[in-house]
Amino acid sequence: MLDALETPYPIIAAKDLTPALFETLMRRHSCVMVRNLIGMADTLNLRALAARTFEIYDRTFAETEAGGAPSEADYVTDDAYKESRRDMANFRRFGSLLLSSCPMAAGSIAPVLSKSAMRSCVEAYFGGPIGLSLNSSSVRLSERTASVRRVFHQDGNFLGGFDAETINCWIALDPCGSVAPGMEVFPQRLPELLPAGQAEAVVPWEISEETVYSRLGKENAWIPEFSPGDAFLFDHTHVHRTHFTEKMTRDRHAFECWMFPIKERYRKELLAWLG
Amino acid sequence: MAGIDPEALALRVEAAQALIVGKDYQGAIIALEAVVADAPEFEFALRTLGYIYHEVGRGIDSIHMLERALEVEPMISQIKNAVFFRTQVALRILEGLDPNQSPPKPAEA
Repeated sequence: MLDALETPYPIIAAKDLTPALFETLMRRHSCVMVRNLIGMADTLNLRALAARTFEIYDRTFAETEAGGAPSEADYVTDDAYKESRRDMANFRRFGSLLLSSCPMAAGSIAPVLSKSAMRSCVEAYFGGPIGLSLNSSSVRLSERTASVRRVFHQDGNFLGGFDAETINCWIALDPCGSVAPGMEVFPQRLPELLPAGQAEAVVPWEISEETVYSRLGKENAWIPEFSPGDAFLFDHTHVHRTHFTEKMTRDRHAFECWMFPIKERYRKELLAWLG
Repeated sequence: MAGIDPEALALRVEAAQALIVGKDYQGAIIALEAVVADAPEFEFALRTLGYIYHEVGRGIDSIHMLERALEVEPMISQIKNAVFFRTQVALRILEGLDPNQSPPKPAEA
């Protein structure tokens, strides 16, 4: 067993995941890395699905730019090219396609999360049934060629504030961390949301490097190495950003799955019950 | 399913569907559960049982049965329906209803 309680990094194997250990690690670090949370067959299926979803979106977006009509709605719904065109294109620029517009991705990840060892831990953590937010969760593609700035942020800045109740299950579908874009994180709990959206910020929720490193310590940054099927669970207070270097040689697919307790406060998230 | 004639199984599912048409939902459920017990990977029976569970308001049983069917035979339309049913179960929980004992609203069906 990986001794997550005795090291600075909260890493555990899926087979060792229990609600009590999960809660201890989350309270202490605001994150937990789970090795092999998703089995190989499901991981391969999700990887193929993620690649196909982006391929169809990009192709159909180009076709509709040229005046064509969307001809395929199973992977990405028509609204992504019509009513939500601008929003979706902006998310795509940052490497995300929202599950609310990707029915195949949503329908495929929900049962995988439901049957994973993580689900009962998150239910116990929130004390009741949980749902996957279709409006906030996404299938992800981090490309080496993307010309976007990877910024530090806390998701609480756009998911309901510091007192929100939510946990993200971020699932790597490709090896990442050194050969492909991974994550830079800080395994410690913060009592607040840090100042965001300062003068040089590209988005309102960006937290400057200076703020993050002075507050959390650059030496405490952690860049985990992920294998496909590994997951990183963290809450909305966790400071993180995509880790990227010029030496990386591959792109990376992932699922970003925000889960909430099923409560009236989160109705607008369009929750899909997990269980 | 070894040793069981798929044609005979299909006839049993079709007989259950006739019960559904006659609104004998409980009779249909009993018949379909018997088929699933005999042939746990017979997709036609799993899928039909998933939908009849949905009709009578057994939302959680419905999702689990549809997703068993999808493990046997992935079908795009069924994948989309299964996640839609998950959003309905969440709404029933929000409304304080037992998600496994409350029929969907007519507009949702």
